[in-house]
Amino acid sequence: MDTRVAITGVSRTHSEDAIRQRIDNAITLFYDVEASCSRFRPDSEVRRLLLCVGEPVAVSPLLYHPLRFALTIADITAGRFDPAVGRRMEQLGFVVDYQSGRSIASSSAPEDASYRDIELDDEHQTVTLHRPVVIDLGAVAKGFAVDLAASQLQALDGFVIDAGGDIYAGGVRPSGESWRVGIRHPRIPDAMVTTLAISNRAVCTSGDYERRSPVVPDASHIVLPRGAGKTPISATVIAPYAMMADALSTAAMLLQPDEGRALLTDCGAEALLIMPDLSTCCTDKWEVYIDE
Amino acid sequence: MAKQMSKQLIAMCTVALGAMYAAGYAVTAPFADQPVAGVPNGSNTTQQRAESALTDKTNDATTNGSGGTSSVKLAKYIDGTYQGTGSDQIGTVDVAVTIRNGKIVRVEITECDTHYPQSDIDPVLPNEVIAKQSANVDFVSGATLSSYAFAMAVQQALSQAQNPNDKG
Repeated sequence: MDTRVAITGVSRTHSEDAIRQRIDNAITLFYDVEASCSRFRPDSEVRRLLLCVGEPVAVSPLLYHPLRFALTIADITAGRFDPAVGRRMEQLGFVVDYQSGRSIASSSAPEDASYRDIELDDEHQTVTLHRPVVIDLGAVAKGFAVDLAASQLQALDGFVIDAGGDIYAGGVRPSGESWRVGIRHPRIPDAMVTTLAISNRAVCTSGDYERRSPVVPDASHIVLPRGAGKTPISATVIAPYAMMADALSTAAMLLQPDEGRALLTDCGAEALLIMPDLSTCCTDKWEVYIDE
Repeated sequence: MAKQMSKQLIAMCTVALGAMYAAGYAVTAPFADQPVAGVPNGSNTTQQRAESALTDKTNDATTNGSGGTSSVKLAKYIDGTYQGTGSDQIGTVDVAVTIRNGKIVRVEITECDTHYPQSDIDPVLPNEVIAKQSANVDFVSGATLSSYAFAMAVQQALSQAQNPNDKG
């Protein structure tokens, strides 16, 4: 996923080898998710859907569930969050597979392709593309991998999975206290906005600084819908699952702060939004998580 | 309405993990773990860090403190009754697992605070644990969430029952 993944595990009852084994298993899941969900690989499950446009294609749970989640977020944001954004991402120059270094062949997807062109069948776990849609699961797949990794580590007293901004902190630190998670300042390198005390929660931050477009000035990897108005430059979301926090932090980047705040509250997540003028907007219970 | 959306998203995440667990992706063989023998509760910490970056992954580990060793091979589990709690953020299942002569002889659901009636999983899942001598139970149709919590609860109980001298 072109991301550095770091996992820390703490246990009073497991041997070092047992902890290492669990961490190795957890790391493997990142590769599994990537093999299914990467837009950059011609042989990924999600990319192969383009070979069978118009027909239902049976897919693994590794693709089905993140896709279903992304489509649900698309529904509740009326399409402002849209996993069918892959074609636009290609136009912005996000085309290189970080592992092979090769560019993905540009697709012939229609400009107006949207999530409504993607149909799922829950019973048969199939995906039908009604038109050639380039699906980008960048806002959910990493979170899903973090959740899977977390499920491998539940028996430990404490663990943290850090996948480039997507963090899940389980249990407690060796001292018995919650894990401390810093929020990066969107404009000042190495500065923190605040520090959170987190246990058994995911914390994901989306920012416009993470990946800039190599071909379009001032464009980032988060593609704004037209007429989006004033949107955040950084959105941090705390949720019970990383897939949820990941998708909602991206969604919040696409909404005006009052809309974003309302959506996050509806979804039972806590969030801190930072605006271009560095003013902030947070949900009601955000402060509960601030580390004193 | 708001609360429903929250529950819907949490349920989808939980179902996604449950599906992976059922498909065998997320099964770690938890009972292959070998806890360090003779570690007094709370006195030692083992910590490890692994990193995966780009195409390669590297592991390094630091450890401070581990207990004694033993060459005596005994039963896999130590006799007694152990409590475990499993939670899937939608609900909680508490279990009491009884070990006798090193075997799982009784699994009791002591608390079942989930969306689903306890009868959906009880006695099907407890019986399955006893039959398989393991927490890796199959899922009950329509009750994926609470059966996941149940499996976690049993795992937790069994991890306490684990005989530290068992190397197999």
